[in-house]
Amino acid sequence: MDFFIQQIIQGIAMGSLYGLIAIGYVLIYNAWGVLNFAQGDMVMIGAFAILVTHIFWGLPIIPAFVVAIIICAIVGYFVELTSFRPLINSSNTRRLIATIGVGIFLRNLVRVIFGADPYPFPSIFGNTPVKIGELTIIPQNIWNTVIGFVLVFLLTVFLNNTRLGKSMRATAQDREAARLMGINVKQSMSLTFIIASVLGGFAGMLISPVYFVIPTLGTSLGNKGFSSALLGGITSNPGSMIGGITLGILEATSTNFSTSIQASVAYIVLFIVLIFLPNGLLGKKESRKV
Amino acid sequence: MTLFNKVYKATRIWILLAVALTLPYWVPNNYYLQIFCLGMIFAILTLSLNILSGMTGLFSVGFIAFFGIGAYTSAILTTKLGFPVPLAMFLAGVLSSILSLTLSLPTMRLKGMYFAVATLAFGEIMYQLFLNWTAVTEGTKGIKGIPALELFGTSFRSYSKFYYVILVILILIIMLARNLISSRTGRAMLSIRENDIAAEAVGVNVPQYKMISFLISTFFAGIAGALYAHMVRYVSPESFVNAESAAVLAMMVVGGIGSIPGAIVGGIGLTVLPEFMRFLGNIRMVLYGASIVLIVIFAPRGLGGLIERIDNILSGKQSLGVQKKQQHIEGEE
Amino acid sequence: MAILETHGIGIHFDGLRAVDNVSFTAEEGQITSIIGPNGAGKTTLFNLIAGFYTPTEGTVDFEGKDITKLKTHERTRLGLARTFQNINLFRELSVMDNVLAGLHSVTKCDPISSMLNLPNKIMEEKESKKKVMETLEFLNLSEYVNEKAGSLSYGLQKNLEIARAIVFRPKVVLLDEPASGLNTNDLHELSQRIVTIRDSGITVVLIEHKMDVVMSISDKIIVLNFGEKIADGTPDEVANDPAVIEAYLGKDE
Repeated sequence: MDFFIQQIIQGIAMGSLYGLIAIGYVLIYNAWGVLNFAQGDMVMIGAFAILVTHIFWGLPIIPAFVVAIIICAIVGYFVELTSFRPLINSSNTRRLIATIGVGIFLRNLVRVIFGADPYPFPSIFGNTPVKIGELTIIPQNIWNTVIGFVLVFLLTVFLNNTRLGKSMRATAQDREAARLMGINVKQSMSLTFIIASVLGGFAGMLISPVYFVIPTLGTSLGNKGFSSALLGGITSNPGSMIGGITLGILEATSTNFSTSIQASVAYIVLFIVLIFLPNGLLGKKESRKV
Repeated sequence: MTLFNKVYKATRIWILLAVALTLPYWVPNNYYLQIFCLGMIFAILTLSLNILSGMTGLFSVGFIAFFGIGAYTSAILTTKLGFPVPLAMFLAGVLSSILSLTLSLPTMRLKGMYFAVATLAFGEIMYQLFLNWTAVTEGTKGIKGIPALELFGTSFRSYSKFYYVILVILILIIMLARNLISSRTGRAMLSIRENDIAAEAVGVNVPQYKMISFLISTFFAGIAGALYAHMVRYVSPESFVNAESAAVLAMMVVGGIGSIPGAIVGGIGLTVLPEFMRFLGNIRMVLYGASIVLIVIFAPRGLGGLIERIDNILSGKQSLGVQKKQQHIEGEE
Repeated sequence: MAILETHGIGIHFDGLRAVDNVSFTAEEGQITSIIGPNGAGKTTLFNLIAGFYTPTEGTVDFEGKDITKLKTHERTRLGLARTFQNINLFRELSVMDNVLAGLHSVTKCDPISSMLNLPNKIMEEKESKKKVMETLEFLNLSEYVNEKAGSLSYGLQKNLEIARAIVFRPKVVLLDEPASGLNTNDLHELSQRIVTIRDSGITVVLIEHKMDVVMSISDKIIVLNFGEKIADGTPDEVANDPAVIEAYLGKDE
């Protein structure tokens, strides 16, 4: 039973990171109308950014995080400028392909610079397990969950209570109307993209002690991120978090049945959700327009 | 129309055919011929994907799964059950087609992104199956010793011979796809891509035709997979990872969505080019990613659109610099 | 004889009654017009008849048979065609292919013969193209046969919608505001055409705002307001109906 609870805690911790990645997808999907297949690679960028600032440059952890976040923001802005903005009026198909192309670009650029070998990353929060009653919890699991939730909370506050956040929401809802209201649509969309990239990158930074840091880090994490996004209905940020945690728990507990199934859990769940709940766990049904 | 235009128009298909038929004789070495054969197999796969995505508008990002199903089916049938190669190749297409129903039937209601994601999930599940169903697929070890095609007492073991098998099948599938476009079935598919509400209004049973589109395109994809299995004579899961689906998508888009010549050029081009760029080392994949983005931005109709334009100029249908109306199955905006 | 009937049909979206308890009949070989102020539920009624929406109450009968449970494409197959107010053409396809697609429900060629170019396909294609050319001729679209539908002017697109709907000689065609955006000359031509369509044996049900068109060609008029039928009858009867006048002009208090 304790083992099972521990698995759930593990699942929640991983799931909050999936949730962070998912929110990146959702923000971009709502503002730009396209699923950003390069979002997973932003996670990878985040992991490499913290590797560079903390290990290579030797910055203490907090400044390392700050600089890594700035790097993610710059890369995100670069991606937006080169692969999203020029295609703003193009068909979904073409925009989707561009995101695939930019993902290949980033992944391989990193590989050219850092090589294909995995880099280990030390645990940020120490390795001494915390004992709560009968449970032994790795600090990382607690921190990842806490940070994940804090970030979602901050994002929600930002979107709902600041002028900038409100313009971002208005832009995502109806670009034309937002323009008429005098909102700087271009700026809002860029900002959305940057925030989404930073959230993805942040997930990568938190994940780096769990996985090795390699250029292909983002591929499966990206897929899990948008599985979570879809699970949450792709329209809401809290939904993504719930989607991520659901997926995290399912993955963590699936090892009880078969270890080889763990890798497929995300996809099997995704497939089933798409078929039976095409609008996600929380999404609203769209009525059809003729 | 000048004399040159007339001569060009009358001879273009024969020139193309002559080049295709003599190719093995002037390709410098076996290695390049192998890459070219692989490119043609990917051209078939791109053409298959085009039936689903270019014609019907069903955007698949897990298409490599059907290529894999075809390759594994033919490999297993020939190595473990002793089926003759031609029959196994045909059954590879059939099984790929049948398995497409497990994707198409439950996802019929899904649209756009949701559908794309379902295909991605399907592709991953298939990959895990190739990887973990060791009793049948041999897992990571892969299936070795797949026999080469033998037909009428001739072995098609060498690339210079197998090349012609691929060529014949490619030409056959091009013809079938062309016929399809200008038919009742093809128009039903195109109408779904264009406007599913209007498609229903003219009496198209939309789910049924989506399914038909799936059956046809995955049949061809399965055949392509079988060709691959009997050319390389070894299959293993990593040939069918989802990144490969993205590669096929890129071939389709770089070639031009919905364009048959584009699918050929995209399939062969994106297979052969990275090989020629090998001297660049890892940079080539960076350039590859960047060029996909650039082509999407600056050549919305892809290389196929460019080829058609040159073709129109050479045959006098269009003067230089003037964009005339485009062939109808092109473009999707 | 009534070819198309609705019995107390209605639908509500999120509690809002878009169409409420509407019963009407369209007689075979006639032009029946549906009029009413904006938002009266006319297009919604069409969507109910054509099967795009499932009614929350009531039934639709076609040639005396209940078709309420049939899907859109099944209704088309029975001979019920429609055009769209907001134009739903296959924009990237040629005019020819748009109208050829309109023949889907009366052609038979299967996928295999389609791909193999078997004789039955070649024959069918030839016949289909002939039918399309006749229809395009009738709608003055012949010269645009190879143009992309999306590149045509608004008026021509409206015509193309009609061509696609009538090419397979349906029993009933629902025309949704075919006159919107047309100038006076074209209006006259359109009226003539609708009459010709009727005279060729196709029953017409028409939604239209241009009153001179409606009044001059309709055999019968149904008036909707706030989703409910408030009057029906001949053009004269409807024009003098106090409820109709009130709906259109507002009540003087």
